[in-house]
Amino acid sequence: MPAESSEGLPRRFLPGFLLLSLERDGTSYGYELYETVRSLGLSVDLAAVYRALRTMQQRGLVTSQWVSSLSGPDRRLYSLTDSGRASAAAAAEELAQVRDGLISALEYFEALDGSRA
Amino acid sequence: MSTQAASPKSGALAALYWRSEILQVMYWLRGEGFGDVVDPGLIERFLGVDAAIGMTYLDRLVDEDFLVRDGDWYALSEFGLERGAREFHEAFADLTKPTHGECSADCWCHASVDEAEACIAQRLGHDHDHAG
Repeated sequence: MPAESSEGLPRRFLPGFLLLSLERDGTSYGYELYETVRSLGLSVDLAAVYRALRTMQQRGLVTSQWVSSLSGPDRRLYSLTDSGRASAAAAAEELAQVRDGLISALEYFEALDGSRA
Repeated sequence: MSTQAASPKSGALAALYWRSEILQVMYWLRGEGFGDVVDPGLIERFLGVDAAIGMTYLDRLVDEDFLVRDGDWYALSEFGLERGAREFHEAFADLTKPTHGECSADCWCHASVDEAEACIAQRLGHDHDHAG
């Protein structure tokens, strides 16, 4: 079972990353979403993804359907609802604000370093 | 983001609630290719229930033939697999229906475990006017 790492981006980005991943891909299985958010640097484990998906489904942001497999157990395929797409747009906006804030902060501190040189 | 609906305060309903939650997560893990065995630590990670408490629910599920125990590990029985699939389909298929623990305080199904079981059976089987 994949474990949680103490490194990487903060876990609070998980819901937004899941929403945006689903918006990009259309549909995804739970483990695919887990691998996507991990590849983006998010330090979460599979349990966190499971809980986030359940919460988002309970809030009507995500819907899912069973997909039968001849070679293995049924799997759950997730996709966004209309509310989920609106939340994905809000998540993108929030991430852009975070990015802009970090860039501003970095530029501020780099300018300090430059003035000391 | 909240990760988990609150467990019912009633002991009997809490047992039903955690039975459903545990079977669902085991079924989900199985579908994601992680097999169908769990230990109390994994239940704590997925459901947020303390491992010691989770183990009591796991042992209860063994007593009820939903799970089989092998040392520290618990696996779905055939019966548990069938029930887990049903619980998972029910929980995610129709979000307009309340699940156990979401009924209001005066719902008839809170009176006893038997009535709670009957309520679940009726809701799984359809037209139950769950106005509680």
